[in-house]
Amino acid sequence: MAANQALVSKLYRGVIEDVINGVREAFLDEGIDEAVLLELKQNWENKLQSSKAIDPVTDPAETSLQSKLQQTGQQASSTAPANNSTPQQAATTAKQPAAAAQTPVTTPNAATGAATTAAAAAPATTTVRTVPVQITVPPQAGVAGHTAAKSITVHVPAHALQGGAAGAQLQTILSSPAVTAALSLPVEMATTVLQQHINNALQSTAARSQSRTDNGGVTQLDGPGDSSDDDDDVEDDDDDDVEEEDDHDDEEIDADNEENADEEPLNSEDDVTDDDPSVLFETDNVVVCQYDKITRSRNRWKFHLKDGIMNINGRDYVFQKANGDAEW
Amino acid sequence: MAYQLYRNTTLGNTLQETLDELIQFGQITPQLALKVLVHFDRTMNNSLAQKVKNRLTFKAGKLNTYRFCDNVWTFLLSDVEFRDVSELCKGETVKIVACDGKAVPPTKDD
Repeated sequence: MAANQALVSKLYRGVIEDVINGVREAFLDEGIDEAVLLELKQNWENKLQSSKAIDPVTDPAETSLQSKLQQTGQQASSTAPANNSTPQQAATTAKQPAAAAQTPVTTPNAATGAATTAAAAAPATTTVRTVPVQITVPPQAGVAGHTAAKSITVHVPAHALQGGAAGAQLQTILSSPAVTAALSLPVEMATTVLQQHINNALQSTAARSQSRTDNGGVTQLDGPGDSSDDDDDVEDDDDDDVEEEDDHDDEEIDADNEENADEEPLNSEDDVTDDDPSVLFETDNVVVCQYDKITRSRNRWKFHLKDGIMNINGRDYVFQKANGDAEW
Repeated sequence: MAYQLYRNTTLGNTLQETLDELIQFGQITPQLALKVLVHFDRTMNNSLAQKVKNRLTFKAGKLNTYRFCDNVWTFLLSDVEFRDVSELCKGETVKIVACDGKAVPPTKDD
């Protein structure tokens, strides 16, 4: 059905364009920025491509953004729990756009609110996974030369985006006056300054938290210091069997390595795309359509269907008309 | 309002997921998301009626179940072969959900 695939791609692109153009007016009526509409379109297209139901056809202008968004998009399924605190702040931000008096408060809130986060990843000591975080700064009336919302992309180690202590760190970092000043700079400079600021801040806090766990004074149980075999009296009901095997290891590095092993399989489950053909074939083959006529003679059924979309073995097909036979 | 049938397709589900994410971030309101979905329904129905031209046939080994409720047919077939002129694709189990092609869906002016 190769020719059909090209048809399907074209049809989908057409539908996306039609929908986006049609709702543009509705978006403007509600006072929502065009940038959100564009984000909707890009996220929609990215998900389509990552679903592998059709062949990707991308505009060259969108590819660079798409590659970044795909990376975060694939991990987006696990963002829901981590995002509980941030969307509330972002909701208040959206309702109070250009209030000059709230500029210092609004900006960091927008930064954390607009950030797309990744799943829990290895702590900083071994493999550091950086996640591109897009900070969208809403237009601020009080800042000169900053009339449109701009997007700054910084790379944040994934563990910093976790909830709890680590997530609060990120918020504090982004709330500092230095950051606020940086956000008013042009995009490239702001990106560099922010990136350095985040790196410095996180390195110092990571070093601090590690020394804390070594001392064992005030034990941080989550974030970089998370290790269930640090203290014997700390019992974690969620332990996997793997962690029980490593009870002999008291070294923090080994514990971190073991966490890597635990978290790798966990993270790999977050992957939405399925490359394995045997898994791909498990999809629920669905045909959504309209019927012209359904007839039955004894136990022989005949179907006359039209205007349908099919998802068979993970791939999408469309038809104008379909006729079928089956025996009950 | 056209049939909401096509919301449970790759295109429809990805749109709903994207809209849900935007609502979560507080970038759009649920009412706006609903408007987008309604527009999607209309566009989808029109596109399928006008832009798609191909026909195909299928043959199933067995019809496992059939259901007709609220003018919607739902079939579960097994061992199905779909044929589009020269090309073929097979499915072990296929679910068909079909709305009435002749009825005029209830219209609601937004």
